[in-house]
Amino acid sequence: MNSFFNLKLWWKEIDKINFILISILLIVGIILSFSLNESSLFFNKHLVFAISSFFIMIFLSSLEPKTLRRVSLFFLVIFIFALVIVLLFDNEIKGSNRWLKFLGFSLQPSEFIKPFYFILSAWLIIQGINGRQYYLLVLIISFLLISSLIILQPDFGMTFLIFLTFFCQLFIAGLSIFLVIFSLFAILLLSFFSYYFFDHVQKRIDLFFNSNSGGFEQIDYSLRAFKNGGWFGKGPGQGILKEKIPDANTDFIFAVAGEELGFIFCSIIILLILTIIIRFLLKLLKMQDPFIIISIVGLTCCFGLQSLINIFSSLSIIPTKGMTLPFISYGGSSMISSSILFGFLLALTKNKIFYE
Amino acid sequence: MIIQSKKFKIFDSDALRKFHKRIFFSIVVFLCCYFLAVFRIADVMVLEINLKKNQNYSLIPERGKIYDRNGQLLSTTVNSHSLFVNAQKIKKNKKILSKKISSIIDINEEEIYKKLTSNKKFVYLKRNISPKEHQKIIELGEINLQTSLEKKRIYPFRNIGSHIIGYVDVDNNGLAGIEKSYDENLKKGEDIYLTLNINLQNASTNALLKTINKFSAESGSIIIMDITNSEILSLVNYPDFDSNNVNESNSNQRLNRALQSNYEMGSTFKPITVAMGIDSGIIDQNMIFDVSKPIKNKIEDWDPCNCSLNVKEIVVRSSNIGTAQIAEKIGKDNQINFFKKIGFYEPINIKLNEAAKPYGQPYHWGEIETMTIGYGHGFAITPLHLAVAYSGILNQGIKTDPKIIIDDKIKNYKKIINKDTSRYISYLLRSVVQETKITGPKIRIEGYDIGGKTGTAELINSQNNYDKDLNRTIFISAFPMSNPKYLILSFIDKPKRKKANNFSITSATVNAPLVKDIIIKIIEILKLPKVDNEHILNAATSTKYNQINAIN
Repeated sequence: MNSFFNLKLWWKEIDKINFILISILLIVGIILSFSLNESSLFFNKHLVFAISSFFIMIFLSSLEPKTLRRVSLFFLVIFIFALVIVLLFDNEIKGSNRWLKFLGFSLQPSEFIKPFYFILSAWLIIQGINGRQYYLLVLIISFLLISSLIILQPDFGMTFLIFLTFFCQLFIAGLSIFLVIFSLFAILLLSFFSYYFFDHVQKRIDLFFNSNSGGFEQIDYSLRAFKNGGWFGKGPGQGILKEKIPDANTDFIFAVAGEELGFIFCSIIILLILTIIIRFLLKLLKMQDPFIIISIVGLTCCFGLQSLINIFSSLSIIPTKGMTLPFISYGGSSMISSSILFGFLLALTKNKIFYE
Repeated sequence: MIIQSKKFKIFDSDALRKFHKRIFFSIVVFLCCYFLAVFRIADVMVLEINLKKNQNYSLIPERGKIYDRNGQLLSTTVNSHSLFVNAQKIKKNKKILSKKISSIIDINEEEIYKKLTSNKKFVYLKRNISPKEHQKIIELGEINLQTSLEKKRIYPFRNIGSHIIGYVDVDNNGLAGIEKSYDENLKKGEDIYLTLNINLQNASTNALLKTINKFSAESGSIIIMDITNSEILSLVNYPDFDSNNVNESNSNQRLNRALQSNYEMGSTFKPITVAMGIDSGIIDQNMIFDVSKPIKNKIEDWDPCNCSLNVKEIVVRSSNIGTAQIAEKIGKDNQINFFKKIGFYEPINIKLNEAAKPYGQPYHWGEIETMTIGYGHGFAITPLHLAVAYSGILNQGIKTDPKIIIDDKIKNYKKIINKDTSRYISYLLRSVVQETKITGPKIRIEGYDIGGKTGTAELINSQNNYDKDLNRTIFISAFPMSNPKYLILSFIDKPKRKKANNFSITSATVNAPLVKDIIIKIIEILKLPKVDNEHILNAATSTKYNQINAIN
């Protein structure tokens, strides 16, 4: 494929501002990782993943929409298969079964499912709207299959994210108001269901609403970290949060940023993420191809909602969910998955598509 | 179905051409959410509007203390230090360092080495180090060994009362006993006053230990209760443990036998059977029972006699044959009803998580079982069940829930038998001490009107047979019988036959002297005055029973 890759053409067609903003996000992640990890092992890993993510993103952004669909279908099938394998083999980490281990790598298939699935769901939705109702059936079945495979791990946060994003796609595609309300009810129902059937979800939610019940939990450390940060933070590497909680470099990376780099820096990260989301969404207004529109909606909302859930959790606005901050948190699966997502987004927003 | 219906629309028609509104809507939602996040960060980080959660943390009160009934401190919290290490910063000489640390904090050298090489930033080497250890660690001069201030729970009386008081984990969450069942109150900073008298507790612990050693017994329990208000004054189990060092104990030591274990109670059930017979009017005191022949070749007496006995003699001689006949007259249904009434079908209503459900008779309960249960075989309850039932019977027939906390109000008044029956049972228990030739002399104390009943149960050995050498000996005792106030229940499991004790392992040999020791201690500690004999005879037992006594 590389022989087909024309850097000049690519640069001409790409949405340059978004590409730069996304790259800054990646650099912020590297900076935080550097200040977070005194041992070079983690930092080196992060750096390797960040650099490979960067090239994966560039490569994917050069593809044509039609190729994207085919690639997505191929990988979706592979990762659904991986999800099944994860459930069959027992690799339990912290009460859930999310990881697939081979050749010394551990891989989280549910992370990879996201970008591929939202491309395909967009295509199925459009086929359905165009009158091929058979495709809607496939859409619903595939959605139920994937979400039940993930909730069985159990990974409630990821299921919730996929559900919300899927809902956004349907909403933009013109879901009737009646079904919008129905879906909102379904989300509510799903929340109650997981509260009563999953102990750790219940524990977290109880903790959220009743801070007296448990001792000093992660979220209290997280809030204290923010408080310690002030305007400019304590300086890179000076925080203590990372010593106190085990998920500091993933679920609570934002709190680490707050403590070490301060309010201004946190606001910049939020502004950065928000700008990327809004720029992608605004681009839709000029577009015509329904498949591309719904795909972009899915990918953008997936990124936007995931970041939001991560930030809200670390700020104790919602109960902790255990979700990474795309491109910033440590973790190979999350980072590669984010690079695929951004690669797809950039591919779908290339300039020439406007003029078609 | 939905898809096929023509009127029902999943998607609004031509929506895709008018999707702009919905895109704008989404953008607004995202904007709002992210601004909420910015506002929240500003709120937490800069504006110093204190968060509820942080306030709560800083205002967490110190865990409440636990006292005995006289205000003796049983459990409290002190400051202590925990030793941790930033293993990533320790670069060299890990072997030597771990050896040095090991010699100070008394933890396996390899374990420490493993932690030093773990490449983690925060590893506890030891929670709650002593001041001496702290000083030595400082002298080591390794800056990456750090200590953090923590709160540690301590128990000044160590093993004394540990089964009741319980213990906590390293984060001071209650795990057993009062620490667990009153965890919420303690966490709010409330102090708890127990009904225990720590001096009595100490005395009964020592007495129990002496007996256990004397007979090389396996385990034992003692319960002392105030009959008039059901307060538990002392509750001891052996083997026991030190609440300060729970990790060094095993589950056998932590078992609160008096509350958690179910046992067959042997002959101590006989007065209960008599009480249900008399109270229901099925038998009266003058009835005579022929005890010369074993029943169905199964029910025999320890001390056979070719004679007939009245009710009192049956209890005093502890006749299985006689009691079996009484139980047969009472019948299964009345038996079950009475057991329900005196609480043998429910866990004891006491706020201690250890209080277990009684085992009862889960298998077959036919005519023969009704008879054997009458004298305490084939029905298992916890020692506390027996103590509470006796306490109710002796408290003029009024049973209440036992109390372990001082300010508990007396709960669940329940009349279980008539006053007259209660008095009659007191009279029987007194007669056992006054009239038996083996038990009586071992427990009598001049001037204190003591009553009691022995019980001995043979246990099943590894071959699944009842074994004459494996006994559980029980003695339930109360005084003064004129107006019962103190109840003492003692339990010894598997005493060994020894020459010094004439190879006897009956309740009379094992438990009677133990209970006597304890009663002497109660008299000493609570400064109970002697009552002269005549006064007892006049006030204590009604003339009616004295007459019966005279006739027999």
